[in-house]
Amino acid sequence: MFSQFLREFDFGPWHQKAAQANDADVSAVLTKSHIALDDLPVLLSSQCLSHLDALAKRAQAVTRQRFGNTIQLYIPLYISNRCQNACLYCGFSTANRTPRKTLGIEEILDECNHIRNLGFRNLLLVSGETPELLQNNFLESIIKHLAKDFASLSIEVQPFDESVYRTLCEAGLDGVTLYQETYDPLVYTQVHPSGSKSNYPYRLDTMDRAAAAGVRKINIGALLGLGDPVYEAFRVALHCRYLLTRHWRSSVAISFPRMRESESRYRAPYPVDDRRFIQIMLAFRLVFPDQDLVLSTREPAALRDVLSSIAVTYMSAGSKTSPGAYTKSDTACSQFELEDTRSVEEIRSTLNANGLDVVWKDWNQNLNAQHILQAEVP
Amino acid sequence: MDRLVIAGKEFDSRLFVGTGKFSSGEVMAKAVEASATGMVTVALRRVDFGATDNILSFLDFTKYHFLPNTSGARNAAEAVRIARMCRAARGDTWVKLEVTPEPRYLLPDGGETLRATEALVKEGFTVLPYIQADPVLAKQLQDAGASTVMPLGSPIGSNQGIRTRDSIEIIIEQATVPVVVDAGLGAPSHAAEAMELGADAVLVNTAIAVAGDPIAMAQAFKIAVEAGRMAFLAKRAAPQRTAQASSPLENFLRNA
Repeated sequence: MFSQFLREFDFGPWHQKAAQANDADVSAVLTKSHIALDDLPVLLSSQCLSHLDALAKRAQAVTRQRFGNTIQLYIPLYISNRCQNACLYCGFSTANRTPRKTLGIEEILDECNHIRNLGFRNLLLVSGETPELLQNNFLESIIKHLAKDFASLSIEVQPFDESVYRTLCEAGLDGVTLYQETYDPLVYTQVHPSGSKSNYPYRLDTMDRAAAAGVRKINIGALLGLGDPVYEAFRVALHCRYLLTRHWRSSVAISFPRMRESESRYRAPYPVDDRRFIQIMLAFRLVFPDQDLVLSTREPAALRDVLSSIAVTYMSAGSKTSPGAYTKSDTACSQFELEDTRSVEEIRSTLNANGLDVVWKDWNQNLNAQHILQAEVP
Repeated sequence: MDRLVIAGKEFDSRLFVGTGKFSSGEVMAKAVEASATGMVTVALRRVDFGATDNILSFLDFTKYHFLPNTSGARNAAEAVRIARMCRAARGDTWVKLEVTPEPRYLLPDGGETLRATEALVKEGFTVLPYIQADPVLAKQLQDAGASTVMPLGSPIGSNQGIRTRDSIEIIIEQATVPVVVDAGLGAPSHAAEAMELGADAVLVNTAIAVAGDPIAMAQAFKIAVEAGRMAFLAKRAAPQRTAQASSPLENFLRNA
């Protein structure tokens, strides 16, 4: 399992390389014909910050080569903001006095109708950590209902056992998104003081369980701002490499959530500025040329536009982070503030203007759901 | 150029093209037209049959034969399911079989490809399987009723050209159906090389779609495929290691 692999990996040489990298080292990596995982420390060094243009040019060439002139869009659907955890940085923390709501199946179908009309076929179901999801097969039945309407269904909820993921896959689940938040066990304990989320290794091994259960798309990441960004980036990279090798049938995507203002008013101890943020994403693109890099509407429009032309291949658009918000205006509190509030159409139009075709659908949902063979014929 | 026949259907062009990775449907359509191809392949996982502006709406299927592909299928069962789905939706019975369980290199699973071919041929499909350049597998697929074999030059999208030359030569030598070199052809010269080896056709996608000028690149590939085929038919002399007089015995025999 990854938790053991991580414990046994010596990051000393990487941290040393990053600290000692000079201009010549950076140039040498940027001109290599094949960039490897071992080159990540140099790409993430402070020295490399003065080579961002070169980094961007190469990342752009690699991204276009591997992904073509396309970008995939997805949208999150918040089904509940109830949560039994007390994460210091999150608007859904159980410590926050805020209206809570879990959508019923009819409300979810209404939201999905609206979402489909916007063009989306990739849906991410999001929820706070609430036991309701597994009661009366709630989550399973949502997935079964939605499977025929979406090409790819992912979840971003609490970690589950392998048997639960297996059941959800049979219902039509395609992907699991789960961020470790921070790979530093000490920081992790500080910011996740109570609730099931305080279990660091269980969370860390989630993708092993999900992939073993047959989940096709796994999406990992660290919440930038909680811990030292280079520390976190090294571990996200190792996690990605581990998953690609150990679970070769699954696709691994990497997200880059960056701390934002939320209900919790938590101040990030390691804020990541735009240049550093861009550097991290570009470094990942060079070291992982085939993996989707994901950027949500947490980030501002201008930054998203530039990153989508050089590294990012999977983006959300028109997002709302509060349950019921696509169809109603008076809704319970959202998880965090969004920066890119452009409409889906505006975003699509800007992407097109930048020479990128929007790919709404890139999978057939019925490939995942074993029990709905009858739905083969559209 | 001499005509190519696959499963009884005649093609003037020996260049087939894929439709992914283009910056827009319009550019894709123009590039396809510039290639002068007779057959276009589309990943069914990209097709939203319910949407009016899906990828198919950009193509004129009176001009091009439509070859749906099962890209994304991870095993024979999934590939068969995708093929049946397309036949139910559009009536197409041709299918390009891609069974690729590993999502990074998208290399084909030979065993599952063979299994899917057997099943689909039995169901009346015209099957064009994408394979590693494996001569034994190629013969097995032909025995199973595949209408072509499509060995890769190098991994999909890698643009590395023909890295499987020796095996492709064997496949061509032993083939009883057309051989289409598919995947990894990154430049028109790679396509010409495939044709000079004796391939019956090539399939190109990424190299055209991500070129700075996809329309010009499509045209370049068209010309390269024609040149390669002409060279093959003109029976290019085998490369010699040493300089050779045109006929070492000529003078001797004349004077004998």
